[in-house]
Amino acid sequence: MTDGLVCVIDDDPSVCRSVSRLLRSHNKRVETYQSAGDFLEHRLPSSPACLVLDLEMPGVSGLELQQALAASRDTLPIVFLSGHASVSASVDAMKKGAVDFLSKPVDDSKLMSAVDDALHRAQQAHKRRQALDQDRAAFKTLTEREQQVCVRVARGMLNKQIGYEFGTTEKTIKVQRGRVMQKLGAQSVADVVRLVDRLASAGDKLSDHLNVEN
Amino acid sequence: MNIQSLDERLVSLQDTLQQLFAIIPQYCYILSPSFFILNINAAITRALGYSEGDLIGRSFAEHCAPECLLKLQELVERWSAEREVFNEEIAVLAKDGRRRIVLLSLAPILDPDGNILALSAIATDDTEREASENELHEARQQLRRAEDERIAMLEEIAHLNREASMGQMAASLAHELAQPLSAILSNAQAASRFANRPAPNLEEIRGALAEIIEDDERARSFLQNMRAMFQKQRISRSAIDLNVILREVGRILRNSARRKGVQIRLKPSPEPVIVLGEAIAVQQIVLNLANNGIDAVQCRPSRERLLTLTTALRTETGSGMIQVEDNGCGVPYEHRPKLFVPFFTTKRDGLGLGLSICRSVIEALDGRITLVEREEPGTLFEVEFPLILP
Repeated sequence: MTDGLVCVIDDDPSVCRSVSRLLRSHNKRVETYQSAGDFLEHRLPSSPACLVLDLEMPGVSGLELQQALAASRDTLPIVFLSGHASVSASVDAMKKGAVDFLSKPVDDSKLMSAVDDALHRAQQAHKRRQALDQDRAAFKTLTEREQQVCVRVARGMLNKQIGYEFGTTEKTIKVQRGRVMQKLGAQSVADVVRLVDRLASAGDKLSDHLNVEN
Repeated sequence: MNIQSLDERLVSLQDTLQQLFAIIPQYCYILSPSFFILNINAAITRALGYSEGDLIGRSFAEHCAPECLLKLQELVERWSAEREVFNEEIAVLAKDGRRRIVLLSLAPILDPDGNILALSAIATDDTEREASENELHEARQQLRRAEDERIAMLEEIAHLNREASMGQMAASLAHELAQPLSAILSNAQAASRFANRPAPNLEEIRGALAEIIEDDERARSFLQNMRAMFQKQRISRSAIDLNVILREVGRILRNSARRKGVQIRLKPSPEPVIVLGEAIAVQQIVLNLANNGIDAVQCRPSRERLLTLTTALRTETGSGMIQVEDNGCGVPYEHRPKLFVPFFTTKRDGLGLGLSICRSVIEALDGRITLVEREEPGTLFEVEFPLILP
């Protein structure tokens, strides 16, 4: 059992209702939407969520919605439902990162395992997201000089080297380094390395802090 | 008439000939009996770019394109034997080396005693015509390619029609029924889960059951509509000639049959087979059967793959008949009863609707389709429609 919100999007109201009832019987929180446009008009859910999406909808189709949501692919995983899916459409959907592709009528256990899988992915993504936000917030509490020291520590530079680069004493760097560790709540240099690593791999620009003026 | 005036007249005749020689648009050469060039006319200097000095005194063979020398030799021999050559194609060289195709005629110039003084060689430039014939040939080929493409497209359209009508129908059928069926299943499974809880949620169960009934109603009314639609849809009928259908189908299938190594034999009845039917529907039916036949003969080596379309009059039963026969793998005995049943198929990607739809349409046209039992390998379908007697 995985917690999270399931958004059911199907132009057929009776499919919407019945699938959401089935999900409710599994204690899922469910929202239903009659069209992709309807869904997009609402704010994307901020808590972990997944989509159960009909492939063949008038207007914006399921595949088009998937395309539109491509950026939030990790945070909003999609389970497709289809009345008569062509092989190419299903391959297409899976290639673009759908969790599963189920044909109607869909069986309870298949649907639930796909939904749980999707919600699990959403939660993982959500956790990563939260951790990253924390890392960013922590990093922002550092002064500019502390950020510069932090990045250098993470690169494995010694206090003496950093001091030489900044034209200051090893002792000053040692004090700054202590403050960095304290502000980031880091127990060890390894913690600092990991944090800087996470920020860098999320695409945050830390390289600016390597340029030292004065 | 005195000699003076005769002489004058001769001189003036000679002048006239000279002028004629100058203005004649063909290339005129005066050749010695051994084929040396003695004189040329203005057409040659104009069109081929030579001055008189370039050619006069040289062998005619030098003036010809090297690849034509054998031909020239043959013409010289014929000339020696027959004293005449008429409009023979040969290539001569212009001053800039380009070839001109000419039609060459040779005639003797005789003295009063009948001895050969020289030859007149008149060559009609044929290069333009040759070029335009090449163009014509090219144009014909393009036309043929365009025609092939057109037929390929027709074939494609016929195929698409077939695929589309059946595919669409099957797809909309599947979609329209999948929705309520899907809803029914989900509601039933949800209801069962709510019922199995320690404290069953009766409200959800009631909701599920009400919706199950609703969706069942929906599926049923859809099926009723379909049935009604099929019954109402009488195809408007008119007089059609099965021979025309036969040829049309043969033409549409020609390319795809060739690609699949199948030989198509058309055996139209000698007299027209006019039946009451609907041309497009009947054509689709025959195409469908023929396509099945083409698929069926793939089990044979490509030289032996044969599809035969035959039409015949059956005055004794008052029907016109079209037969689609293949020498393929045949219909296994156990499959025969199910042959016209919807969704029965042996093809991996088939829907199993082709023959069942064929039969519905044929019956809607008051026709009949039979799988003919016989000894020979392969399959023979016979489709009959009511004959219109003249």
